[in-house]
Amino acid sequence: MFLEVKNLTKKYSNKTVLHSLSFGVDQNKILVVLGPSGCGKSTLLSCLNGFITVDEGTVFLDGQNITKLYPEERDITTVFQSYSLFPHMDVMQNLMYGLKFKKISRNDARKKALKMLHLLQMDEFSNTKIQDLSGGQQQRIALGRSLIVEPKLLLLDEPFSNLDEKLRLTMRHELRQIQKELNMTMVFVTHDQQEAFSIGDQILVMDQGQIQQIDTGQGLYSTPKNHFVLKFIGDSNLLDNGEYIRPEDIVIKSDSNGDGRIEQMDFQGSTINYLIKYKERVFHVTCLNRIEPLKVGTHVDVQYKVSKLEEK
Amino acid sequence: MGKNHLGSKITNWFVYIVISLSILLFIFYPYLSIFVQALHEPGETFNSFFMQNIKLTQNSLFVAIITMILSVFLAVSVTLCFAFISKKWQRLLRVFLLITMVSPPFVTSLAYITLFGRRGMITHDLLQMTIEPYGPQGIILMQTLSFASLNALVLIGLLKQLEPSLINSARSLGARTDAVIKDIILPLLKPGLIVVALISFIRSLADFQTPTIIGGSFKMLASEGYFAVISMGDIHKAALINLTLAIPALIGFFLYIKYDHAMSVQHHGLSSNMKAFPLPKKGFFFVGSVILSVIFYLALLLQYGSIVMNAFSVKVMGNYQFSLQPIIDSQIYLNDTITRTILYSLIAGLVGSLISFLIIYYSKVRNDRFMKFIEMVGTFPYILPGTFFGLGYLYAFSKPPLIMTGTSIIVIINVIFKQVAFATKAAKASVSQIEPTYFKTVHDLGGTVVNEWKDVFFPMTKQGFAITFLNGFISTMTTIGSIIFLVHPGQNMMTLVMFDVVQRGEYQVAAVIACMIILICLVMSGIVFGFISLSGKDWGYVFRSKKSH
Ligand SMILES: Nc1ncnc2c1ncn2[C@@H]1O[C@H](COP(=O)(O)OP(=O)(O)O)[C@@H](O)[C@H]1O
Ligand SMILES: [Mg+2]
Repeated sequence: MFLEVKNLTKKYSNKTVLHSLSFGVDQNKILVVLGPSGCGKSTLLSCLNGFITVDEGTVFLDGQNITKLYPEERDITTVFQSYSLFPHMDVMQNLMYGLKFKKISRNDARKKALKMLHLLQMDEFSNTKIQDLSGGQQQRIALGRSLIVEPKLLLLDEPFSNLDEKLRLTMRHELRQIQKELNMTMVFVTHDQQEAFSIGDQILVMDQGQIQQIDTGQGLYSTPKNHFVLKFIGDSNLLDNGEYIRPEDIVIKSDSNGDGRIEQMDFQGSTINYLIKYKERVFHVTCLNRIEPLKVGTHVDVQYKVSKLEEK
Repeated sequence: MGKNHLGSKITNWFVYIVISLSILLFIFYPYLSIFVQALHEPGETFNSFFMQNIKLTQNSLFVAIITMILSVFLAVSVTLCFAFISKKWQRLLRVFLLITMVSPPFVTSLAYITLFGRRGMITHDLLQMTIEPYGPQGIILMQTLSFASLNALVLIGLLKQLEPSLINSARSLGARTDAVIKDIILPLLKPGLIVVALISFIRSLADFQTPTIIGGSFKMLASEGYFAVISMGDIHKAALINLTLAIPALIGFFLYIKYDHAMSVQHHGLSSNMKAFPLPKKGFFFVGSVILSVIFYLALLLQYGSIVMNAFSVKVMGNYQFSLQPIIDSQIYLNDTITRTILYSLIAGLVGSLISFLIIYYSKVRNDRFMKFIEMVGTFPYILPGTFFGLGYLYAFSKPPLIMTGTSIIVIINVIFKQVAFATKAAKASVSQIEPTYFKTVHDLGGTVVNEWKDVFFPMTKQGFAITFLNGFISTMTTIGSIIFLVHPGQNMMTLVMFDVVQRGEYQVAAVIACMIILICLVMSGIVFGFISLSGKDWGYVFRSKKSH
């Protein structure tokens, strides 16, 4: 594996924040670390880029043990949530900053920066002050500044969480494009599962400093390994004995003799969510908006598919 | 409801007019009269005086420029070193820096004489030699040492606001410690560096005590201005000298305004500790700043060590022995001076803060144009030499329509209005943290201006008010320049007595008074910070949350 993390443990005083994590990332892939806030995602990134020292475990990057190196000595760059662009430098100076520490002429550095601006679709902003950029533009420059030094690994800590919904979608898309173009290996941290699905080749689900499951988005959704993953990823109607029904796995049809009854209707646009009462239980149901929405009180016929957690 | 509003309107106008008039009368008018009279009075003209005494100006500028460079350089070292060390050390060193803030300005010179003077503890007693410690080198050294603390505290306050993720970003891109300091930290400190450089320059120009005490035969504008009044009674000459001093100070002032805007809220050294920088402790800057800082703190230690030693010992056959004799000796100089000094400082702190907060209420919350002008007038005493302010009072209030010289009320008014300059700055910082919607809400719900003050403005700024009060208290306890010409025998203040006994060579008595001033200021700081931490918890939600994450 290109990035290989083994038994990584981090404690603050006597509270263990990361419990012996082991995982790897292949070259040119994106691993998304997904988990609720406070579960240790940022701490994990800080162990990878070297801003905190680990208590136990090793980090190998491209065959080299980097566990004990200073951040400036690691071939890793990080895009922080707050962008952290240098306010006293303009766009070009920000982009070119990391190149100062490479053996590269100023002229070549300029060329690289201009090329990066082009890739980011921001050609006309080369001499703009940072303060005059919008949030999305700042995020792009921060990304470009980290990419331009061609690190072996790029880390991103909830980079899009300060952007509005629409922009976030665009940026996800662009990030994937750039990643393909530059063949970059990335670890991307988020608490947003939609983001994880759309960006990650693999998704590492974490809770309370422990890895819950590593899989593709599809894998997580269709075969969750445990209760946490099941509850965290998507919605589900829990039954007993580790059995559950996904809301889209329930099909309802208006039927005056049916033993289900619509309790609530929640119009979402492309989909409609229902709450139905069926055999003394309440179920969440998601339907595509193809037929006339069913009114509250309507009796329905219910068909469903039960899934089961894989017992360990 | 109508009646209620009428009363409130009258109060509002009354306060507005009283504040505006008092600032014009007690700040603008004294400055104006010194300009008008110094330039129009019979006697030497400004031009001829300036040309004949060009050497004085040269000396003053020479010392001010060197002091400015050295004290900023030293302050940067102290600041960088501070950023590298752990919180525990920061707390300790900050106590050191804060003690220098509550010391009378010429304590350094006093320590210098007792250590290195003709009969100094180190040069004479320890090394058995007699050297000549007096002259410009001594002035520059002492000013550098005493200005560096304030500069460092301002810079530390600024550094605290620096996002650690900026440093992390630079490191993640490959910057080592030296590169981070050179490319990120120093450039971001630039507005602060310019501001402290200007403050040091202006303070050095205005400082008459250091050259008076250790200048020897080296003549400078500020000290000559002081001698002109005190030994020759030549107020006209003093006015000309102060006018000369005012020119570079005013130029500095306009630069200062320009760059001060670039600096956000600064707490004048009363701010809390910061997290140690996430940077490896190595490289040129780190080593250099640690070495200079160690020298700096050792010098402070030596300085205060010698003051305490002088205050609590007598020399018996060449040996120092613990004794309360210096304290007993100091009593005849002090009498009721201690009570008076504390009383005046309390009044200056309270009234000065009240006036300043009300000015800021009108200029900032109400956005009143005229009050913005009043606010600007209020900042004059911050930048112009203290003696200039004092002379202005001497000129303005020794003749009709308002004769007050020789009374104690003129001293009280002087110390109150001298506070306004800094207090308005502090008030502004404090008020800028209140959401403006709170004021709108009061009116929305039917409240009046008086309700705004009573229910929002003062309750929500009470911490800032307490800090501003403390600042006014401390600066009055340690002030000297503005009141030295106004105080008459029998109404003395502690710093003046101290300055007087230093000049008579009664160093041990001076050391006792210095210790007393420091102690009083520290006790008051303890009280104010106790109050703040007691009232602190329940007010957190009022303030604008910083950039949300
Ligand atoms: N410097 C620190 N000292 C003590 N505890 C910390 C520190 N930094 C983070 N933590 C704790 O570690 C846990 C994980 O934090 P973090 O990695 O920031 O979570 P996430 O990024 O997933 O929101 C949290 O419980 C947090 O309180
Ligand atoms: Mg985080």
